[in-house]
Amino acid sequence: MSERRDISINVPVLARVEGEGAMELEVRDGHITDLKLRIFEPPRLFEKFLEGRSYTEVPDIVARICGICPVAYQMSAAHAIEMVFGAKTTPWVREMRRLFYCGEWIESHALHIHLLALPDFLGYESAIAMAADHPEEVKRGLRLQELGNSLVRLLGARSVHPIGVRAGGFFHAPRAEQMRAKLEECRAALPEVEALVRWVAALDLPDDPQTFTSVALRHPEEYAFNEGRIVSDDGLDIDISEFHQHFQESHIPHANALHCHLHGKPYLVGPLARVNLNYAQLPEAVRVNLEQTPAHFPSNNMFHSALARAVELHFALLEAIRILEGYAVPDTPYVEVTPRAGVGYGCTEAPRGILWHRYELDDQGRVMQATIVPPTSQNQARIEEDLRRSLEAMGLDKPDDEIRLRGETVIRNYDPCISCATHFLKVSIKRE
Amino acid sequence: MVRSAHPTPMSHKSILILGVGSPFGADRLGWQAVAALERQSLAAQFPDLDIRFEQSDRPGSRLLTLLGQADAAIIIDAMRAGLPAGSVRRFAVDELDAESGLMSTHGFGVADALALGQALGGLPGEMVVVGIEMGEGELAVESQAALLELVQGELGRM
Repeated sequence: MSERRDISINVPVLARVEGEGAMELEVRDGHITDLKLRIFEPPRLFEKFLEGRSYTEVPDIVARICGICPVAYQMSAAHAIEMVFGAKTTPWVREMRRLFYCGEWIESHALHIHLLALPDFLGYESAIAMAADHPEEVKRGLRLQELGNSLVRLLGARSVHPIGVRAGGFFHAPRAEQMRAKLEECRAALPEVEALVRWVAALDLPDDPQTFTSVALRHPEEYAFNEGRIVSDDGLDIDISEFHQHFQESHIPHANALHCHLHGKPYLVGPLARVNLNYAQLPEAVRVNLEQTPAHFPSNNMFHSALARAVELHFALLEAIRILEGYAVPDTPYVEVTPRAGVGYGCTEAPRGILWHRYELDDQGRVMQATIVPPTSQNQARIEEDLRRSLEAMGLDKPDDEIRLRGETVIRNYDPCISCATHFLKVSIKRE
Repeated sequence: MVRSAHPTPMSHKSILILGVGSPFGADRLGWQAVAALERQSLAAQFPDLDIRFEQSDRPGSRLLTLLGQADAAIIIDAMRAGLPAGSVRRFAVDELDAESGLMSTHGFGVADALALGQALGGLPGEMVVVGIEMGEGELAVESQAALLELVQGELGRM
């Protein structure tokens, strides 16, 4: 019979997550008495920076919130501003916004699968340590990440903090020959991405079934990026403007990020939530490829998040190919907008889940008030809930190093973006 | 942001002089260093080299893609090594501490990217990293002179 120890574990700096956070764990008489996902990174205060700024500056300012998912910030903001102004964009703009998002999903998912999560599943401390034994996998990750970045550059001029977005569309339309060349690159990557899905499905991922609520955007005609209603597998089906009638944000002492609950309970956003809710809307080729594996969606295994990312990478590549095949240079890459006072909402699917914006603008289009709810702050309560049950299920009699590694693996599985969430990781375990 | 200093690069050895960091704040020294070097007539001084200048805003793992296109590279970055502000120091790649294991994407710095590149065997054959100690102000004239001398020495060997 194992001895019941009191434990105190402190992981002061969480590795392979984006931004600065920590995990603290206290165990007394074999039970967790305290578990905190601490978010240290200072509050970013972007919502306040935006006040008084013109709507023309908003897309470039919000892009600075995150180096990994700036497209998401720009898309949610542009849609919200256009809602205030009553602006209607063209089918070309709508398609290019989807292509822009494809680039970001490919870049972000390739990075997380190969460099951030894979060392946990293959038993390495870091991607650098893993690269010596698995160079081809790491090179594949870097190739796909660059392909995604190059798609973002086509429309945004640069992949980090792109500058091509404006209310009403884009500043610039790519030339037809640029798009034809990119189409060939995307087609050439397709066999590798199809194989990636089957390869991730064959990884020895932990089997960890649990109960959670998935939340995502749903659009009747497509796998949602930019438009849709907010739905859950518990029956929620609301317009994006009704977000705060159902989701509550609260400040907690141990984190600079706001916790967010749905009807008082934690919930999940991101790739697994999306694939769980919108599987039927994935292209047939994505479903057929996945159905060659034993995996099945919807899934209640949180570690199928890695597979969901691979599935979405396949989707995003096919969607990019579809859009590039139909590309034509437009007469104008944007529609003119006319400022007017009002309130607008934007909710789009960032790589890590729904990113909700609300702006109140004056009659000149200046920001009077801004609210930004990023995906990681929405997942934070779910991560703490998962940590508590995962560590108890593993057994708190295990050595500190094993508990620490499992805790970090659970957290990294969510691909938390702490820099985005702050208003967020380092791990501390205390046994008494 | 790539500029070639030589019009006929095909037959020449490709050299990348890359400034990394942020375009703003104390971390902008790498960008300023490349801008200062670009004003020198390095192409005329080294006609057998195709020298490209590039500035990159915290490229993370994309650094490997940038380096993959060069035969040799000089990377210039701001550093905090406890030296007097403006000090210029040369490092070989294996002198950098990659802070092994500490690999967030936002925190994925030059040392991490180069350690990953070394593990993958994908770095240019000749590579040096130049650090400039951060201070409060712009890149000092004295630092520019020390930097030019160091870079001319490296290009001479390349």
